[in-house]
Amino acid sequence: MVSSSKIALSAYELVEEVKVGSISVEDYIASMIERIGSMDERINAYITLNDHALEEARMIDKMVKGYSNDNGSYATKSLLGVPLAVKDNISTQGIRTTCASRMLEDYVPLYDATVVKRLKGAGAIVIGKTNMDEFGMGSTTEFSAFGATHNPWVYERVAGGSSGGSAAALAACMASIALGSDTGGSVRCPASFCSIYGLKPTYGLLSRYGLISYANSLECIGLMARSVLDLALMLKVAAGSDMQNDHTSIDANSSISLDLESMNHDLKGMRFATIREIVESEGTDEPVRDSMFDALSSVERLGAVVEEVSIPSLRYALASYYTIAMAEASSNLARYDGVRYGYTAQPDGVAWNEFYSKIRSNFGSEVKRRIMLGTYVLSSGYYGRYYMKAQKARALIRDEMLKVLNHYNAIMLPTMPILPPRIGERISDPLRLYMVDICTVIANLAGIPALSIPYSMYNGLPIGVQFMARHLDEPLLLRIAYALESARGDKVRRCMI
Amino acid sequence: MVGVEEVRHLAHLARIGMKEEELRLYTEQINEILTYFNMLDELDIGNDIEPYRMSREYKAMRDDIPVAFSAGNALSNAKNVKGRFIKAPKMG
Amino acid sequence: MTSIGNSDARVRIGLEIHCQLTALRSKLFCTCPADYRGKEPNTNVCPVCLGMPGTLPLLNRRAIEYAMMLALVLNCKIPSRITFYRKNYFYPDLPKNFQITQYNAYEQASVGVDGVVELDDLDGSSKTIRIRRLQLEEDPGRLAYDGSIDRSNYALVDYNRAGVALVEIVSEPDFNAPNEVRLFLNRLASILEHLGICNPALEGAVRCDANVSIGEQARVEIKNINSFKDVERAVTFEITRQRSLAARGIEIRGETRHWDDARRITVQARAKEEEEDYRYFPEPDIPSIVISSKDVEAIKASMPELPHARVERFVNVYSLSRDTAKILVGEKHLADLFEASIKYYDNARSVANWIVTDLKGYLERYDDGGGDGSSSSSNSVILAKVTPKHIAELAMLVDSGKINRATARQILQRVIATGMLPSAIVQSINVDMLSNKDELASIVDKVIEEERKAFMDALSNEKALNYLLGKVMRYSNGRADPKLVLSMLKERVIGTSKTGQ
Ligand SMILES: [Zn+2]
Repeated sequence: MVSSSKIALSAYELVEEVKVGSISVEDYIASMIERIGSMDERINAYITLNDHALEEARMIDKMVKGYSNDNGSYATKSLLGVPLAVKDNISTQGIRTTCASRMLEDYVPLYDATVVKRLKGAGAIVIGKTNMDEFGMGSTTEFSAFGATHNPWVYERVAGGSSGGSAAALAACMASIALGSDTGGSVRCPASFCSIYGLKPTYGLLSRYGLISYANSLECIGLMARSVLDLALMLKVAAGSDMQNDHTSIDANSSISLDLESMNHDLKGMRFATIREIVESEGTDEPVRDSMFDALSSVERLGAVVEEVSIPSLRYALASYYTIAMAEASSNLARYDGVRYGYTAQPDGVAWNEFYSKIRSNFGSEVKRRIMLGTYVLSSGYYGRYYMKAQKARALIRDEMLKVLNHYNAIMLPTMPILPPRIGERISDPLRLYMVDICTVIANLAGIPALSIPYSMYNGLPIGVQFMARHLDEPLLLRIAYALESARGDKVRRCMI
Repeated sequence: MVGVEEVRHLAHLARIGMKEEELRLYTEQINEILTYFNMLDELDIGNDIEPYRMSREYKAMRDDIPVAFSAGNALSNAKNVKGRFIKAPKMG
Repeated sequence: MTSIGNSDARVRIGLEIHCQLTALRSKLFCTCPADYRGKEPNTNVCPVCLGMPGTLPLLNRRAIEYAMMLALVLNCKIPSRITFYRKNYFYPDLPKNFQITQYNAYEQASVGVDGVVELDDLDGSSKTIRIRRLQLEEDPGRLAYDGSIDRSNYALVDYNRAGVALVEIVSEPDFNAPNEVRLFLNRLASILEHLGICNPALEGAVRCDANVSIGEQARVEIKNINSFKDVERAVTFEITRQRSLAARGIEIRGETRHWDDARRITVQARAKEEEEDYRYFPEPDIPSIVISSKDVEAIKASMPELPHARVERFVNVYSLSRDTAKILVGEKHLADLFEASIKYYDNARSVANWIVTDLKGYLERYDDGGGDGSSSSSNSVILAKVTPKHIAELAMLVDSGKINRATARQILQRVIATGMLPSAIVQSINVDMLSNKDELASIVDKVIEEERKAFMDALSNEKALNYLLGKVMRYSNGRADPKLVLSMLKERVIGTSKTGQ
């Protein structure tokens, strides 16, 4: 077994040890599974563990020891032996993928999502599938058919959502890196609440193939890690056009360079904008605002200039976002009807409408709510008033955001306007819960990259700060995070060990 | 305002079975949320702004090359099967 | 009262035609083979066309090209940006419970819009049929039942067809008579064949819905017409039905009816179809596709010769009559056979006449009455056995006077049965024309001797004359020239009546 300090290694540190043979991947994975066994009953980060993880680990050990005839190709694998947690709405061949829904409780995909395939190709080992809000619909990981995920830092608080399981698994060192998905903040919110890094890449930079659709035009697979370098490592492997599977992917390999070694620890010459409408909003908690201002002086000390701007159309961001998300969701989730896969019953002698209605009543309450609203905004007579209007508002917001980004390198915001709520505290008031997504949805509406950086703690509760950049300017976001990582000092702890 | 009957119709369109009390709860919540969405009404944007859309050149589309699926049994997740057919409820 | 076949401005007929792009090799949105026919259920499927979670549609570029070609031939405008929409409704044959299609209510999204087709073959007159739109969409799977549909407790689904590319052509209700519909569909079948994008002879490759209304009365939709041939029948039936209702003062209800091809009537749809709300919205997984004028030019340049141009070429280059040329081009396989045959025998008019009268006549007699209006499946079996060389030789043998037309037709049957060359058949059965008048006269006399009664009847009865002719032909092993025999028989009959025997 490996020591607990080793369990908390960054992925890039782990890979180095694996390659020189100082850590056995089998031992490492076994230790991690044991750790999950002892901790996860309380945290509930995982829905399913990969039965073949140890087997895959042994294969890697063999490669490193030269017992297999891979001709030393392992040396080029940048995630060799790294335990990877995968959100349970990302398809994994042979490992059940539930979307935290009863409707898919025994669904086993026939294929790997493109991003999973790429990470596995680089040597990562899928350790398990993580808990989430059902189909990604929520901001707390409470709307799960498998129970809520608890925040590893403060047990009675939520881990954030919808990728709460992935964030909690990282914070509790039950994985080294993780995949989430981000439709309106679902990677950044739990990253902020669990004190890890969460990157929502430019729309299309990572293939969506295998990501089970909730709101196609908004969502992407997101990357989660405990260090900036790990994030960069993952991004290098995961990014790239996937025209074989996904027409919405973009070819950006040439325009993204991730040379972290040459990165500066300062932010000289950078110009950042904060958004008045959000910073001054009543909905923003005091400790969050304080943390934000603290981060602001940190980046100024690092040489950046920060100015406040106004984006009036942001008033419509949530209405636009939820209208589009729900409309797309209502259509995407129509396929869960008990015929080809998933939850079902005997169809013999059952009238078809009754059959569908009965099967589909097994969606959770939040999913049903969004399907109903999505059905409404698309129904005849309302399309122009809601859906079309929402898409126009979206275009307006995108244009105004891009205009700001013409003058500034990045937009700086809190990730979440609130501290992690107590479990059960917000679940009964849907609209109030939607409101907390205000700082995150704007990146999804505009399709631009955004990164949540762990910045501080308030009474043991993590607080993140968020940066958004121009399309494909992920390197800038990583550079900012890299600079802040050293500047923030001891304000945050990296993981619960 | 959306009434219970309209919500019942929505539930039918979406094929989601609902009990009466659920219908009432959803009616209330849907109204609250739609009231919020209605702020889009004040947004006076005419046809000078194109709705958000992604576009792509037609040449970027897939070549017409057939590749049959061979990675596993396509029916492995279907529970109601008869021979090679999938069983479904009868229409009508 | 106006007869049904005639154009009546009060009758308005519109068509919605679905054509599978059978020439594609893969489905519209996944790489499964497009040819699903004859496969075990659910063996021509993949995660994408089964609508498995997380899969994304991947548009087949060739499908766009084919649809654009057809749109151009139908004189449609091609929008500079085309978009796919989702049509949301639940149905067990629809793997995602929505169909990816196109929709023009919010923008001009479909591959083609606002086309026109001139029907100039109407006796003496011509008219314009407007095409509202041409769109690309995916075919659903197919439902089957254990035993009869009424007895079965459940449906059986086969998704092999799901995701196959369909082009839907929607016309304005510009047809005023069933024969106009037939003419249009024949024209369309020939275009599809010439473009090489759809083989209308394949089962289920073309399907049609029609809508019919008379005067101010409600519009009736007819669904389920699974061959082009039946459309004229269905529309004719429906006009008669509506007229007879109107004559009895019964109001016509706006409804959906189904074409029952066994009974050849339209019947009311079993359940009253629910007023559906399809909640169309742009398919977010397929970006709008930008089509430049350069792209359109490139497609135009890549198009094969079209029926209209081919007719002109046949008239100008081969000096065929326009009518003959049109008949040939109306069925592409005949036109192809013609062009291949004249390589072996360069008398184009003779070869053309042979195909248009003799071969086509033969095919029509053997047509099984089903099929799609251009060629039935039994015809395609026959045609597969007749090679250009066969046609060339037959025409040559007749032209040289070696055999007569009737004999040539008999030889055609043997060609189809044996695949032998006509010249070889002629030699093997020694059918060189029996033109020696003396030899023939002795056979004629022999028959008259044997059939005295028939011969007497032949004075007043044509049937009896034909009977005698048949017997002479039999005795001569079919080698006699029937025309010559007939004139000899007539001579004798008249001679007899004159002498008052
Ligand atoms: Zn397929």
